[in-house]
Amino acid sequence: MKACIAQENVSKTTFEDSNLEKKAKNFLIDYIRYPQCKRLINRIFTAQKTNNFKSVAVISQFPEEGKTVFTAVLALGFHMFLDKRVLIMDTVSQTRDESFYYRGLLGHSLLELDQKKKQSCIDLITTRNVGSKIRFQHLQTPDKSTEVEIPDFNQDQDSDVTSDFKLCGFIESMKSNYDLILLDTCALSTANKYNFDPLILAQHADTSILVTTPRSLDRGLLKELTQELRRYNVSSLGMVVNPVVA
Amino acid sequence: METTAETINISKIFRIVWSNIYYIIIVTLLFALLGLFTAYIIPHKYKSKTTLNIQASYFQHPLVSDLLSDVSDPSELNAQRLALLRLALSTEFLDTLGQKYQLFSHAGSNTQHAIDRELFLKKIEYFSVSPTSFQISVVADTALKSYHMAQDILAQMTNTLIEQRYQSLMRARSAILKQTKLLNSTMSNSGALVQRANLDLQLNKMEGSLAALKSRLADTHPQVQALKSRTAALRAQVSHLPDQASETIDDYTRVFLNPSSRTSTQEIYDDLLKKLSYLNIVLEMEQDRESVSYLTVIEQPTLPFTPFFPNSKEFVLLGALFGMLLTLIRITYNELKRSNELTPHEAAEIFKLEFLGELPPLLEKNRILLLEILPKSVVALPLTLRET
Repeated sequence: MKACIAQENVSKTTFEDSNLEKKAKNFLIDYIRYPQCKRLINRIFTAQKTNNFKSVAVISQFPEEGKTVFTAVLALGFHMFLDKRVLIMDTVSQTRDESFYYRGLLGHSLLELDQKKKQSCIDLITTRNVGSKIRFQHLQTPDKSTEVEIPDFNQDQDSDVTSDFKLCGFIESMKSNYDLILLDTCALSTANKYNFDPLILAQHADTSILVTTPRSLDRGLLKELTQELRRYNVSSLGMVVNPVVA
Repeated sequence: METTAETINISKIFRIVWSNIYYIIIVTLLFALLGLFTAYIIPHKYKSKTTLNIQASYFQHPLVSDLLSDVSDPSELNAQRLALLRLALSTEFLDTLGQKYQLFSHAGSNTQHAIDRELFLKKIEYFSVSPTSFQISVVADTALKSYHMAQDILAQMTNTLIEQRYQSLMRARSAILKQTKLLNSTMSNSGALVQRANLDLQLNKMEGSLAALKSRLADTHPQVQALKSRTAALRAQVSHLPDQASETIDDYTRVFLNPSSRTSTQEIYDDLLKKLSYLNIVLEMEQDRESVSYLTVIEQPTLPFTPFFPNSKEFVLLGALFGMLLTLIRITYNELKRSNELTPHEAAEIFKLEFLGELPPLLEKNRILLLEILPKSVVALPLTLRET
């Protein structure tokens, strides 16, 4: 299965059709300019220089704690402010339109960016749920003329069981092409046989970042979580707090 | 390292309660009002009570106690009293009462009717309040109905009690009367046999004398004629008397015909006559059912002015208690939850996690905006992905 670039097909007029879309398209660019975001991006960037990591697993205890927003913020920040090449691997099963969230979020934002930044990019590997089968489908490569074949991570075409281990190998192979690889994982509480296991991905990634909300800042939950991370020998860069809704 | 659990002390509890005092008061008042409202809207039930005294003398039968066994054991007396009260609540009476007060909704179906009757029976309570007194109560949907029903039930119970005792005495009297008649007849038979034996003896003597006189005198002699006529009269008298006990008499009666039993039979007969006389007096007295001595209505049926269910005060109290309990549970839950909640800095310190930073608050309107726009934007994405 292969993928190719389709950026030339983007129609800018689509965004001008709706007031709603006008409001939305600059949201993320505005959002990452907040001091909290810039400090956060800077902290991770300096940590990367110190620890020399490339792949980061973004994990959380519960769904909807802000992993995707944080991943998008980090990717856009590294792209906008630091001219870095970023790969997002959305490993969450596409049981609903979650992948659209990434595409919409980053797509709108990128339209506003200075197109001169030729060296930097944000690529997205996503999954799509085809019937009961989950597989990676496409890759937008840094070199926009190159086509890269995405291996099928299903152990068996007829099986729903995904191979987390093959994906980890694939991430290793992609490290040379990117400055930062962000693994957006499913929540630990929702991990099942149809998902790529967040703990395995985090263990194979260079480091991990825990996204928390006030709900998951619970003594008991955090105790269990940190014990589990230590048991699986997961390297942790730290935690990011998402206050969720103001 | 995780800190140890916080110590709960009285002042802290007081502080927590004080900080939630308005919440507690409001919820408690709301539930109390809810209790009052519930007590107001749910159907009311009224209970009319009456108290009946059944004295021990009800079960005593002087002079005939050897015929009608008296009950003296208190528990047995109580059980008998309860059994008599239950006897009064017969199926027929319940049906009559049910129809009178239109209590049965299923007149057609036998099964449903039986269920209705059982449900009605459950509304009638009777239990002992003292060794001889019983409280009888009945529940109805109106005060007047319960009052009238209690009156009917009390009347039925007293009538049943009196009737049961009267019937018992009547049976005793009937049996004594029968036995008296039997003994009377037996004694009459026994007297006749003795008389015949005496007359037979006398007749034999007269016949001997007549034979002797005939040998000396002619038949036409006046003395012979006189003796002959006396002998004939005596023979005629003897012939009217039974020569032996009738074969139709049973063995039981035959025992009394024995001449040696005569004295005893007479004594028994006298005793039975005395008992019969007593029973006649007693029955005569008890025919006036208003003045029986062994039954007393201590408390006439009461007309209930307030419903016994629902009790408004109890409902208000229960509502208030329930409301208070709920608030306390809620406060306790919140406190426990709060005690487990950590600030990012606390969490970082306790679990040795680097606190990298905090995302700016994402306003709800922006969040909704993003979610709403997504399906429309698929065709316009720079990262549009196409299968080859």
